[in-house]
Amino acid sequence: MKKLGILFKGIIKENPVLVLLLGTCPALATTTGVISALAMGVAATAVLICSNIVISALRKAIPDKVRIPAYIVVIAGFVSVVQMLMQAYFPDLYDMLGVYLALIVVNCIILGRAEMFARKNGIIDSALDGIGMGLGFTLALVLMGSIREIIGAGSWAGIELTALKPYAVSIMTAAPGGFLVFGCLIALVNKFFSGKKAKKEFACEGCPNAAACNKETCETEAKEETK
Amino acid sequence: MKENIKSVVVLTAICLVVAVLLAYTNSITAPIIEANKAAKASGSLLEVMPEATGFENITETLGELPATVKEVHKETSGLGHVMILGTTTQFSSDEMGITVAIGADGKISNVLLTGYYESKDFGADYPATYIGQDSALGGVDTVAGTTFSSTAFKDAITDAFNVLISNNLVAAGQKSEEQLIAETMPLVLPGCVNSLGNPITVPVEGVAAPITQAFKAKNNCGYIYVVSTDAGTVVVGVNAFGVARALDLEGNDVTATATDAVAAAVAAAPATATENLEANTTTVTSFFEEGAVITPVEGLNVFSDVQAAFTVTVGEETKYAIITGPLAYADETMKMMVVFNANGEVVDYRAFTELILHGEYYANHELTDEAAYKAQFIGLTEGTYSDDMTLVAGATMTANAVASNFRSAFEAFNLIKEVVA
Repeated sequence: MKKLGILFKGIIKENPVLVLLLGTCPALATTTGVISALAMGVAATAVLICSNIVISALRKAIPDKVRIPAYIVVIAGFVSVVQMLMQAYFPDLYDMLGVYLALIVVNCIILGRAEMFARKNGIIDSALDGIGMGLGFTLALVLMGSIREIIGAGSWAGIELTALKPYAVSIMTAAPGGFLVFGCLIALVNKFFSGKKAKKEFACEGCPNAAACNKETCETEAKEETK
Repeated sequence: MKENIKSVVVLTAICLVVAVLLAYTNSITAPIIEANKAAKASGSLLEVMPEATGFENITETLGELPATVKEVHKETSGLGHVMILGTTTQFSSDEMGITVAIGADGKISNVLLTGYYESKDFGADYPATYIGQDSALGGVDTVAGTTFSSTAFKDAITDAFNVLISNNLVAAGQKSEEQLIAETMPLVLPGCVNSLGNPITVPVEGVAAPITQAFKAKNNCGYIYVVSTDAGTVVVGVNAFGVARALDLEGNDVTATATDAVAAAVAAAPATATENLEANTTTVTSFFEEGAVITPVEGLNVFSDVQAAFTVTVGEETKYAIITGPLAYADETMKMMVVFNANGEVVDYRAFTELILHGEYYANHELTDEAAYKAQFIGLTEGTYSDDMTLVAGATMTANAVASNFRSAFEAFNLIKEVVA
């Protein structure tokens, strides 16, 4: 049951995009259509699973001092591998994602999960966390992409929806439409599935810079904000 | 210390392992990525040469290429070449993209317009008129109304042929006599040529043998005669001063040998030239004080847009007035006058049309203070003048005409001084 909990918490309860508000940049940029949203989700999931597994496996070997650079090297390595594979086997998707594929390296979700989960848990749990968070990220992106593409272009995954096509609101596929959908989805998720617990968990403990900053002050401020 | 060493070792090890992983992935994907890129590139090439089996990019092997020729691809089974061209009209800086397939027989087998950003289209059918043409491009012309775009298109195709011909990849097409005459005309009287390199002339009717065709420069800088001789057709340019020069259809100067043709052309020219000279004399006279002695300069060997030149003596002082007719927007003549003192300094500059900067074409756009614009040229000599001074953003064609006027005027002044000396 515990393992299932790890797997499923990323989908709604700790959804990285809609609850933890991580990975906002690719979430807005690549959700103009379902295909690009799905591709970004899958690519990020692959990197997330692999990096979580490797970081978990090396957690005892990596000295605390150099853990962030080490994580970055591992993540960047996997992103480059995914980039090369996509360029070779899915060139159209590679062109579609453009620079956002390379920017997975600096996606907060991946570094955040490495720092918050993988370095403290075993390989299996870390892999499940990667799958869960990846699924949550992908689902959020696909949901946003679907809404934006249907309303903005009158199609879904490139399939033209004849009845909706004449009523397409093109701003939905532009940046303002992305923010609008993003905001509405966050509001809905917060309304129906409280994300308070996850936010608290992530507020200081999950912050990669927690060790470097004044943690006590940070926690005090967080408590005051909660009050 | 020990912890530091461990940190360095672990980080280095991770970097090495990641590097090995990347190298391995790259070794697998690199050939596939290259093949994808090649397939993507040849996809557009296949559009114009669908029967091709493969392409080899030979751009780098052809030496220096014209700016319009971007890529040259050789079809591997010997069907010909596909060339990617990019050119700009003089109106827009956006590139017009052209992909042309030229067969091994030296004829265009297909041509595709891949980018066109002008507001006025030269017609979807226009590129297709090039199919089947050899390098002579005898069966195509520019399109009235989109002269700049269609000329740019034609020039780019000509550049493509020139690259293949100069590298012995195809044989040159045979040009018709009509084409050769059209190409020689700008050379004998460059003053009547517009910014696209086309002579702007009016046909003269009623010519007699040996003259077969006659043209009067629209800007009154002279005449062009096509004369039939025993040695072949000769094109003779007669300037506004009655001086002639002759070229054969290969571009050789035959002024000294084709004397009969030159004499016939000079004899045909004077009536209208005299009429034009009288009009210019009246114009110049109106600008000088009463009592000024105005004498037309004769026999000036200039083939630019100079219409007339005068020496003007006022008391002890002698000035030189040069009248030019550079072609500007829509091939309109912008008649101008530059007056020099004996030292070659500009002492007066006039434009006789209202076109200059806020006239007919710029009615709603007063681009600059015209009086100040003209005044900047006063006192300049050939050494201190620069074409850059004529530039006016938004009135490029007019500025080019002003620059052409000054270049012609300085050239004419120097020749007059030589004659006087």
